[in-house]
Amino acid sequence: MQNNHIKNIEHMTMGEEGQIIKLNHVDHHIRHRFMDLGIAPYATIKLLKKINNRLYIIEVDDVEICIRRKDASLIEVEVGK
Amino acid sequence: MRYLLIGNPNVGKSSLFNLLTNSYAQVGNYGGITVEAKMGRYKDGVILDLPGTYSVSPTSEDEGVVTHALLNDPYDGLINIVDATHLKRNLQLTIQLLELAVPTKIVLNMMDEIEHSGMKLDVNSLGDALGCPVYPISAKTKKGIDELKLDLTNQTTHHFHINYDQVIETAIERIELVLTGALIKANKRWIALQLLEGNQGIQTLLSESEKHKITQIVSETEQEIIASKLALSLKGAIFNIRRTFIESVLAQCLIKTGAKNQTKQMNHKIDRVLTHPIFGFMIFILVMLGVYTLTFDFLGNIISDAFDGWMGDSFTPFIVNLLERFGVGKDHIIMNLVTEGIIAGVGGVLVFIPQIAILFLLLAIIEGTGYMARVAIMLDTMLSKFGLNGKSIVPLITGFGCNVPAIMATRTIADKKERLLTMMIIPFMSCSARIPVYGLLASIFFEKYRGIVILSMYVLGTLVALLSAKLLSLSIFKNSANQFVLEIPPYRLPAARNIYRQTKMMVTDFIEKAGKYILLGAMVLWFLQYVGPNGVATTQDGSFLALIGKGFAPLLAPLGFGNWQSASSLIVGFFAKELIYSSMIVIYGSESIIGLTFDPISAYSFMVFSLLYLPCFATVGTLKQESKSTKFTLMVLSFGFVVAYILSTLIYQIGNIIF
Repeated sequence: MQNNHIKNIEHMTMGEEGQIIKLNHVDHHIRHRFMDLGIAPYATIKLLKKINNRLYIIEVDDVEICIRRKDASLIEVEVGK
Repeated sequence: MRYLLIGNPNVGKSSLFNLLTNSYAQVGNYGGITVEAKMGRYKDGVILDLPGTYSVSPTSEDEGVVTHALLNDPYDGLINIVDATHLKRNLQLTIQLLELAVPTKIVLNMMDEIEHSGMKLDVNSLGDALGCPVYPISAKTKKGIDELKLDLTNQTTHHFHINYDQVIETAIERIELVLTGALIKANKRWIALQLLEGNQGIQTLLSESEKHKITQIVSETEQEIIASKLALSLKGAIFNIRRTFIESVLAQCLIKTGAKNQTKQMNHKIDRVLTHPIFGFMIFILVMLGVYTLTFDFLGNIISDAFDGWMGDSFTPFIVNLLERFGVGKDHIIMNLVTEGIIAGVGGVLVFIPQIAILFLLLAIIEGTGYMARVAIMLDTMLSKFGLNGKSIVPLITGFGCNVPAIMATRTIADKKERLLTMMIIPFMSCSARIPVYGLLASIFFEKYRGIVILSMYVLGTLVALLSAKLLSLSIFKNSANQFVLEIPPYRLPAARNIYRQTKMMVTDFIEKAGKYILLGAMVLWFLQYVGPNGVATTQDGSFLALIGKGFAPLLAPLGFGNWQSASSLIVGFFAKELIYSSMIVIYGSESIIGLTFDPISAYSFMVFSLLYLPCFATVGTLKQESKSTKFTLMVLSFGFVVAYILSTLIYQIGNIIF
């Protein structure tokens, strides 16, 4: 098992922490909104909870944010650093 | 001194506004663009409360206001309110404001919560790093407010500068040279940075040649940044440099005390229950039923009944007596106008104020706790099946109070199509102005089941709204982006002061409306039924009102109320929904006559039709203003009318077959 690897938020386990590497194919509007909320490369994020495996509650900069799975799968994170 | 109050959403901006200004807060359209900004006065000046925003460049409609105000509004300084417990994110906006290089006061709110989160903040060194005065306060405990108030009269100096990467600095210089300054008076470096970030609000102020050159510079810089692997986008690069700056500042000022973050742990525990797919949903239904019961069955009804009794037993006789003393006889036209026009029409509506006040109060409390965000999360899955998203729930529930603020609340929905779709179904949410007519008919025809019958109106309205959304999302609003990104605020006990002020404002609005439109409407109405083509009408049938109503009555026959009285009431009701009630009282004269004209089925059909047929005049105005489209507004009106017509016809026809 590799200690230092990259995956998207969808595949993170609960409570796992990591650093955002990049946002894949996120449309212009949502990218802007993400950035406002601190979801941008170099930010540290933590997956807090999944609801119905459809909504993902993440923590960025001490703020809890709820996103849909579709968007969670586009955010690439490096974990175990 | 004139200040603009700016801050992230949900950082206690309104609380601060309320503390700094005295109770006189004026809500008004301002600046020529269609947005509401609250203006409040303090001792020596004015504070303008702008909508909460994460950044100066807008992503949603209400955020565009901030850029607009910064560029066009006359002001002496900015007050930037910041959530001290979330500095990392809040300071992104602060930097953008400081770069504008106008006198800025930074207010650090929630200083009391910082201790609970296991941190300590060195306020002085934060002020040094940002180069402007910083005021630690707690809006909740009022700590620090007096010091801030005293300092409002002092003009402050400031110095702030971030050095961006060489690529960006070069671009800033190039843009500064292009800007002629004829159009824009603001700081050029700030304008340049905002343009590099993609602020569309500023682009619209440029001349064609400026725009052309700047677009060129922006795209060249963007390519250079991507090529040099500095960041994935220009905006991202600027963001990262600011973030690095913020992190270095915070490394100096924020000290971990090691205590555990109690607030967070508590929040997670509550959330586990409130956002639970099953329990959470049950709790939501219980909360809604609780609001309903308190509004109608317990408190509201008791107070309203007492008020009604007082109107009938004391107030009306008192006025009659008074008029008689001035020589106005019992059959005199003025006596008729006052008792049957004004008191019956307006007084009858005022009776519902306690219920409406309680409804607004409860909605304000729910909003203040942060519970609505949890509801939005819980209902997102369900609402997305209807083409809406979780965020739509806030405007929809606000719609129970009044459709006008509900339509304005849709501004938080980022996707245009989803926003229009939500706007389109809001008129189906049963607003408080529809309460009087339900109350009247339900107590005449469904005495025993009054509560259930009124409740059924709310349920029916909501169902029609959801099904319409589904229908529309499959047809006109196909392919909406369907996105949902929501910040979850921590739970907070709402401050009584804020709840009181919010409720008071809504109720005052309602009374003002009753005072103006309903009073005027009731008087015009009374006049139209008093006078006909041949002077004073001897019977109501010969009045102008009857003539108008008769034209439309046949259209309503399949619905079970094809008489001119109903038609006239509904026409008048377009101006304000309360007037449906007023007209019925004025036209019929008493409840017993209504009891003879309708039967339970046609009464129910009439209630449903009143609920759905047309939004009131004020709502139509807001729809037009917010959608900026006459076509869309007309579409909402005709869609609602068709739905109402079909549904009421079905209820009456099927009802008659069954019963």
